[in-house]
Amino acid sequence: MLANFTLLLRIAGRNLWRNRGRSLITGAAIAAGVALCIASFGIMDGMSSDMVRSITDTNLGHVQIHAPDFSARPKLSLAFDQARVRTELAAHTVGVEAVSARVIGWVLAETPRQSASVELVGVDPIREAAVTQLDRHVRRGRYLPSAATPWPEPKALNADDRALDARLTQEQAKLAEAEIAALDGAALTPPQASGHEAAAETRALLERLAPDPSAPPPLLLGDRLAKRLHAEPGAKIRLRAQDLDGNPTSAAFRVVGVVHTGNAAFDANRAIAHIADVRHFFSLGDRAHELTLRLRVPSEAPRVVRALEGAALNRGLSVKTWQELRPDVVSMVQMNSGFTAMLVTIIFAIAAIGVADTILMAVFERRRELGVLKAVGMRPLAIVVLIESEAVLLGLGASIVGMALGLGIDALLGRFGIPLGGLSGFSLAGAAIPPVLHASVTVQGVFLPAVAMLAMSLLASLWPALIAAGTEPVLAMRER
Amino acid sequence: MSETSRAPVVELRNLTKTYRQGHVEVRALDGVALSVDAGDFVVLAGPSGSGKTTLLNLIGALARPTSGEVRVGGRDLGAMNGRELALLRRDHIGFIFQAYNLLPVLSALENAELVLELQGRSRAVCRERAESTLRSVGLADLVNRRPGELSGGQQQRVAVARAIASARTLVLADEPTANLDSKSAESLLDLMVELNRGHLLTFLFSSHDPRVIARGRRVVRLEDGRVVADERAG
Amino acid sequence: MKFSRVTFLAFSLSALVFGVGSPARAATPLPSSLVQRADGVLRGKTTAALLEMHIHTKSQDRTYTLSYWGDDRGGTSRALIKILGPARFRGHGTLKVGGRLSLYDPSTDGITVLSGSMLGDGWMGSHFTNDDLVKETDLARDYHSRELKTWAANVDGKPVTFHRIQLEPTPQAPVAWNHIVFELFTRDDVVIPTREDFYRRATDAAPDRVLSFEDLKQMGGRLVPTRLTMRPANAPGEYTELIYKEVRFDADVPASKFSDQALRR
Repeated sequence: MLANFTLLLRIAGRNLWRNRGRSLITGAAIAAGVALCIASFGIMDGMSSDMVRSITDTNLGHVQIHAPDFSARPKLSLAFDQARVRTELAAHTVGVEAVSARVIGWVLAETPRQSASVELVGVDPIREAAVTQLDRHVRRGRYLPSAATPWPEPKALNADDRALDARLTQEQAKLAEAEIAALDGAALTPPQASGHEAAAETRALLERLAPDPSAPPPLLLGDRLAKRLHAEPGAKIRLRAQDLDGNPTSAAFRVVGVVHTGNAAFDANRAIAHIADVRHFFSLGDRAHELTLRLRVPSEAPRVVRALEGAALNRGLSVKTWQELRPDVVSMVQMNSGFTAMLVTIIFAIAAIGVADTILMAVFERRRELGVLKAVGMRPLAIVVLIESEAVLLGLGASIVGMALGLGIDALLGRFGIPLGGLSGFSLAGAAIPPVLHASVTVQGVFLPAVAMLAMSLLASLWPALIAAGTEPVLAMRER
Repeated sequence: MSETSRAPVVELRNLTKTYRQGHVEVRALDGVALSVDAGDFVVLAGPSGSGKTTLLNLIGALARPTSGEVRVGGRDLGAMNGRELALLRRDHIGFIFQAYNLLPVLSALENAELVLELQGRSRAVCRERAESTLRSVGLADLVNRRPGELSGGQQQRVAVARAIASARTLVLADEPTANLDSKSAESLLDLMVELNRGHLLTFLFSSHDPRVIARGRRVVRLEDGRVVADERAG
Repeated sequence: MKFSRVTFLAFSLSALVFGVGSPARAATPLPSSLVQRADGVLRGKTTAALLEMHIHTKSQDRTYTLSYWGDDRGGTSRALIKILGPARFRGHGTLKVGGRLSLYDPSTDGITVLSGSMLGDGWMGSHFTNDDLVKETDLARDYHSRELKTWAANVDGKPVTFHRIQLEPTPQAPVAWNHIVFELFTRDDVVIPTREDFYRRATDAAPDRVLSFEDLKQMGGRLVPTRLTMRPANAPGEYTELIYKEVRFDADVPASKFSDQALRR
């Protein structure tokens, strides 16, 4: 069998050469198919990794630590003692490149013209830049300065002040009582002069109880939020919210920069300030809501999570990979692969029909030759091998050419990319579709189509090969 | 070999073959009985449509009879499966076709080697036997030509070489000279007679050409699927 | 004064219908009418009150002195709450006009209209939510009432009839609760709430929070509970008390009381 395999290969090769025009056309179709598949995989991989980067590198990081309920229902009160967690983290820093602590709360942002509900995030500017490269996304203005704004500590009132405060409250209550009593007696108007006095004295007390920062703390805005608020660098924005104790808190911040990350939820809702300023604003002490980790190797996230899980669980915290935090993006990436697989399947089906057709034609043209081979004693299996050899030789040659072509396309797309034009910058599930699609080359993405195309050639020609094997040897005898 | 050379190489008993052509049943062979001795040189003569080719098909194990028995080398073909028949053809029967039927993609040498290769002989044996056989059919200088580069006579000589290179016992030839000019035909017949003498090969071929029939040592005449005469030349 | 007399007349009339005038019905009053009267026990056509709010949490104790102005005469209910002290919160105000809630912060002289995401937050750090203030919930309108249990007892040495009533929201009611269990008692012609248990889910064994009504006093011409305490289940030991110091019902509260200017004053 093996002895005459070389003979079969020889016959197969020469048969392809004999019909080189047809072989070339079919081969070109296969090569184009392989190249197209490689390019599709390249673009898909490139797009997926761009999408993933658009969320991990702008906000999510690779691993996050929260209080267990925080991801589902973020609340100010779900802050934890991050200093201790950080110390424990240091014991497990294998593969962790950087860690950023964040505090997060929803606030109302007001400009003279607009107001909007805003997610205020406090970060350490240097650490945050190390984790998410936020500093690189500043479009206008500048990044946050690394130092926090000096913010006087609140002081308790002394006995005299407390007495004054109690008196003021009593006076106000008396006035209200009088006002209630005077209802229906329209003549009496509530006295206002003492109200003003009380206001001035109250302001003096407040200065000590809840001092304002020495200057408006710097603030970064997402670009879409900035547009919504009509606020550009230099603008003053007043933020209002309730602090950790439920008390109303407000402070004026100064916009220093506008960022564009491509992450829609981020760009439309986020304001970022120094973590110390935000902690003052929310009376959060030294606590944080989120620790975000950047890993040297992103795919190691599950390992890092396992390493940290024990310590985190002891603290009542949950550690999650970005995949767990954003299953929507993971499924988008999978959907992306699914679409590509569908496209590739269609390409393969077309190529398969082409190969089957070519081989079938070759078989029907050579019925007499095949009859002669059977007449002189060639067995059916050898004929199947002969026909399959033709298909595989054709597929192999074409796949190699296709691989070279596909790599070439990938290299070009990797370098120059496909500009998406009008579609640019939109985002799906918060993950940005990059304005320019860049292909990325993976070993799998290159070899898989070639190998699959080869296997497909083998399968597609099985039917013609079986027809060939069934040729009646008596055909050899017929007159021409 | 020595045993088969004594026993009849081909034995046919009451051989019948019918074809269906549309709704009409055509009786190609009708109760043929025939025995061919080893080393004989037999011509099947008769007009076209008399059943010569059908008879060769049945003897060559290319088709099965409707009824009757075919024995080649003493073995009953009716009792053999497809694989056994293929091996029988490969190892014992050489074919020469009217249309030569060489593989166009192989050179003369490679065509001559084909059956040897199928038999699984070593490269050296294949090459040596094919070359010597081609030499013996007078094509020593043309071994590397493809069939398309050879004349009809030369192609048929390559076909003869293919048929005999593996030292078979029986060579079946279907109108081997029909496509040749008279000179080529004459020289091919000379070659076959020569080979018959030297190799102790049994030749059985069909023809309706009187010149060819005249060269047969034994002439079996067919008409309408029956043997009408069986003469041995003086 | 004339107005209050008309109200009194209406009040007596309804007492006549539901209570004194119809002894047969007094034995089995409709649960929904009981709920309606208990729910409105501290609400007149208008309401003006002076209150204290004690907030007790793990991290702090705080007392607000508040003035409250409410007007339910028109189509939209309106209310103004001003914090009179202490200094940290003095001058803060909350204005409710229908479903719209505005907060005033005197330190920045800014008025904030509350957005949806903030309605669930506690009001000024208390265990009452902004939602509690803004929701124009009418228990009798938004819930189906079903008597669970009724029993006799003594309150302040006088025999009363207690009712436990289950409230289940009507399909279209914009409410946050799966069901509420309302406990109240009737004595002579008055209906007094004692306790409201709020359940988040149908399957919950314990309520999410409990509001209790205590310290019955004659105030503003009515017998009313003067201490309301909200206790959340998820923070044991924490509570917010609302204590009525002074209340006046059905006086003519001027419409100007429910404006942004009044909120700022």
